[in-house]
Amino acid sequence: MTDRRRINGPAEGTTPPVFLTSSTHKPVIKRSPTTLRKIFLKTSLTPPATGSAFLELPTPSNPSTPTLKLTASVYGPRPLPSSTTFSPDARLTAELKFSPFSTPGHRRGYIRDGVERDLSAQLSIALEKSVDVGKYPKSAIDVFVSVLDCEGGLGDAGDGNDGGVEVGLMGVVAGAISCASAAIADAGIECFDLVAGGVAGLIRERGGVVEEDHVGEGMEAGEDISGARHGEKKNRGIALVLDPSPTDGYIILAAAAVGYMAARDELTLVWTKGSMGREGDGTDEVERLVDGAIAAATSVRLVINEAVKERLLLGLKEIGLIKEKAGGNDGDIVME
Amino acid sequence: MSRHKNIRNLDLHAGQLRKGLAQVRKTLGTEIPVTDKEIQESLWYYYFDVSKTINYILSQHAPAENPKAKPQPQPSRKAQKGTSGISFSLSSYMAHEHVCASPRTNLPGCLPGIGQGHGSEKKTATELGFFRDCPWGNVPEHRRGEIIVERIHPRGGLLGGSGKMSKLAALAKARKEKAVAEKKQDGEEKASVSLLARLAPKAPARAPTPISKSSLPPTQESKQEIKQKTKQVIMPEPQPEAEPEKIAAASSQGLGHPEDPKTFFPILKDKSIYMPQFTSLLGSPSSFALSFFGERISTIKMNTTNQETFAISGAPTAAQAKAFSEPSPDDIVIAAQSGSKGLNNARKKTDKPVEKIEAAVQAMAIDNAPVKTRKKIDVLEEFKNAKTKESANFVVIGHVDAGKSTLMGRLLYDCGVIDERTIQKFKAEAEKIGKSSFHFAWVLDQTDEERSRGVTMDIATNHFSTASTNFTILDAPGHRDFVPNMIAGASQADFAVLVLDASTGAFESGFQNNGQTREHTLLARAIGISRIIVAVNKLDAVNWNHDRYIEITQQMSHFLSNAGFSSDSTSFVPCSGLTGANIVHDARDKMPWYNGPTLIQTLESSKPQSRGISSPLRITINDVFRGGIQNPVSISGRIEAGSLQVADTLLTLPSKESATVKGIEINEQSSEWAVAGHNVTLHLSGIDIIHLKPGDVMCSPESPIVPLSCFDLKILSLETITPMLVGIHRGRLNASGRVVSLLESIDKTTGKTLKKKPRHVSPGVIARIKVEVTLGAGIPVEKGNKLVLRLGGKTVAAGIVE
Repeated sequence: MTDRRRINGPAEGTTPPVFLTSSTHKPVIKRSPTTLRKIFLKTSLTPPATGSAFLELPTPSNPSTPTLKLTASVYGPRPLPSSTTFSPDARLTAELKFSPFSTPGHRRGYIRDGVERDLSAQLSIALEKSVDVGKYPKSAIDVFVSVLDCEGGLGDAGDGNDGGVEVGLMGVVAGAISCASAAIADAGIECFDLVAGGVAGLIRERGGVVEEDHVGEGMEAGEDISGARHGEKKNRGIALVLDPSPTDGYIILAAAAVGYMAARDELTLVWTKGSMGREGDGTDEVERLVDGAIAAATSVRLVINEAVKERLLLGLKEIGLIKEKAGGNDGDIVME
Repeated sequence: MSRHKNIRNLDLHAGQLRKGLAQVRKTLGTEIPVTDKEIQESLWYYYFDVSKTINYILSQHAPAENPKAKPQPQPSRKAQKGTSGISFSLSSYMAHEHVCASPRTNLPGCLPGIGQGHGSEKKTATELGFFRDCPWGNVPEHRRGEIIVERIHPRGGLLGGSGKMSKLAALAKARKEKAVAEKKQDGEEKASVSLLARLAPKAPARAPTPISKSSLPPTQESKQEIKQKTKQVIMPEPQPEAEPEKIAAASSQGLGHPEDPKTFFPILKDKSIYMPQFTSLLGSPSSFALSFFGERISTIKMNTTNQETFAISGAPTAAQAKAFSEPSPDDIVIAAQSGSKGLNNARKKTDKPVEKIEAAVQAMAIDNAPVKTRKKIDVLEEFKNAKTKESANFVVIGHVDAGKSTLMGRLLYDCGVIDERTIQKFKAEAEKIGKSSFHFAWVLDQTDEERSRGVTMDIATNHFSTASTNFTILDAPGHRDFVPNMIAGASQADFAVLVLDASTGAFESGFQNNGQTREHTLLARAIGISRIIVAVNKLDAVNWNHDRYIEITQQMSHFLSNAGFSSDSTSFVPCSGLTGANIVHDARDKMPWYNGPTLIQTLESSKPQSRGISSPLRITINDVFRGGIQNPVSISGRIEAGSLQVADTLLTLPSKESATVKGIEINEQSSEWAVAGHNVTLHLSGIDIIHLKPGDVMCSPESPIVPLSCFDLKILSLETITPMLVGIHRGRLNASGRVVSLLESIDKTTGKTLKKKPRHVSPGVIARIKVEVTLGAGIPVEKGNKLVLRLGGKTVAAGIVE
């Protein structure tokens, strides 16, 4: 008599699927320091939220290597809770949360830790100035960013490779800013401008070739850093790297993340890490870094534009206001 | 940086001043008479901006071309900046680029010190360019933002919602229009530029360096400057619909650093390398993202050429390979189920379009009702041939506390309907609350309130049968507050049992003007009951006194004949409900003077009057209830006329809904048919319970009742009648109405008109009146229906519809 009350597996058993490491992957082209990674950004992901967006950096050659994936959802403008005091403007709160499984290496708790609180505050600052809060009196706009996956490198300054700084958190913040801004636009909340996040870092440069970190080179690298401070002497320069990733393996001397409103040319957030000085030719490393981060953010802005526009066109298409053009060329932006 | 004159006097900017002065002098030449101090002053005001300073001085010392020009351009500029006085400049990387990142030969004094070692001079923060991007800096006109504060208040208008504007509002509007017109004249300068276009560098033609060539002999530097600017105007055309490459190029170009763009952006040297990156910055989704954006991505024709396929390692076993070659157990079950009729039908229907399915579902809903096919029974024939017992309904009426319920309880007990044990239980319970004599009444009074108050409130129905007849008891309440319920009960009855309290004083009180003995009797007659049995109750209380009995019968027979009961249809029975004397068993020992029939014998001898079996069907609904899961809608009531059988269609009035008879119950036994006189329970289908309420009439659809809202009544008045508001009662049906007019009063014996249009009708007079229903569409009554008119708890008249 067979057991018919339960769902039983096949009597003979099964072999668990084993996934081959895909050989169809193209060989990885090493990014040049000023090349940004591609960004996949789409809005209207979470149905109950007023607006939402999903941001993802491309999967590296090895699929098990983590990459940045995050979602942002915007709720509001909705009435302020009755416990709060009167506010003539909308109150924007941002909350960034790492999923328990998001960080490679260790599992995160469900309770907000210090890092999350810090990043939430930064995100809130970066977004606040872009939203036309005066339009929504007595309302709350709540932004929730959930990091699903990140590349690691979440330590504080100085604990990166060989004394370099870690840029993982900066990447998360920049991504969160871009994603949240797209989500705010998706929510139809009036903004002055969209905010794009960008990260740039400073690395050593030896004879025009960007140095990479190698195993067993620790001592030498440490020496190099001290040498880099006196670049004139050793004839070594400092190079700028845009959108650095912790997996790239650079020794990053200093890094900056910005929230940048490109159309208004305003910064909403600047976050720098590492030690910066002035180079021999008088250039200010801080400015170089920030300019680099702005360059990155300006490029990211185009992706945000595209994502917001895509959703808008899709909506218009749905209600039949526009027809899909053959070739997919819509106006000024050539779609891929 | 403070602008206080003392601060100005501090020699902080001596170098800058000196250089600026030299440049201005060089540009202006000697034609314009201007002092060094003036130049220095204006340099100070313009933050050492040489071009602005030159512009200012030119405007100040312009020849007679424009003599009326305001001598102070500064305030006018301020006015230009912003309407509300709030103006701020955006920090600008790109604009800065076009002013400062040009070759160093161009206006070297513009931002002195950058990238040029100035000897031993210590560089200040300003010189280092720390504040180059600050809002108070040298921000070109086109980059200045303008905050337009949107008004919160509603448009001005006159109070009272007039479309006309108030004078103030009209004035404001005129001003605004004027301002708009002026703005338009300014040209495209202030036309809104698309967001993307704003990313692109602006044409520096809008930069505030309008050095007029005519007024100024172009020096070497100014020539270069103009050249540079024209070049820039041509190069990055600010198209709002610019392609991303262009924008990217422009923006990346703007990122160059004034000092050394080569080291800053080594890869920017060749635009062709850098530019395509931006178009390729749009990433393709990973499989994770595809899982929730799949649909949308496919609509945008995203090329996902490198889709990953997962190969399962290891060859499948033989069992696995053949795993799906045979039908699964589920398939077998489904195949078996599909063999059955029901599922097949359902499946066929699902294939049709939505409208058809809806129609099919509706049709199915009707089919769902398990309606039996009509057997086409000839009910009249069946009724004649039926060997069943006679059935009779009687209503028990009388003054309050006459012992109606007790008498009926005793009757049921003696007939064996109620067993000994139940009576003992009632007796114990009644003793507990101090009403020991009420235990027989509790057989019929079943609600708690009735029992605790000792008063019947609503009609209680019970059945018992003798050898020849099935009886239905309708125990009416005697209390004056519940007379409408008594009317409802009496309307279902064939004859009445009037119970009188023989005890001293009680009979008299019931027989007085306000007593219910009198009212009930008159009502019963008015409703159409012609046979009445008078049960002289509680004779045990007067010690079986024969004289008392005779006294009561004499008074009653006089009254009854007055009320319209013939002496043939009136019978008197002495009895005692509590002791059970002369109810089922005779009581010769106690009443040797009586040798007539017992109560039950009298009941049996009372043949019901002829029934209108062949007339159209009429049922007044007495109660609507849920008869169980099988029968969600059931009604009970008496068939007043006509006959019906299972599967007949009935029309409900006044809701005008039709229903089908699913089942008939007579005396709690199911039957195929029923005729007039039966008290039936009908199980209905095809009708919602909300369309039925007590008092409604069910009739055959062939000859329905037309609800009337105004009709003539021939009445017997019990109180004085004038045009007044009355309550109209007919069985369960009651409605509020009013006497519209009194048509005539009629002589009781001759039937002739006594008086036309009387002012009022006195009690005891027959009259014809017109009655109107004040609420609702009308009541389902027809000619010959007997109605009762009541007012303020008293019956004022009983009548018949004409």
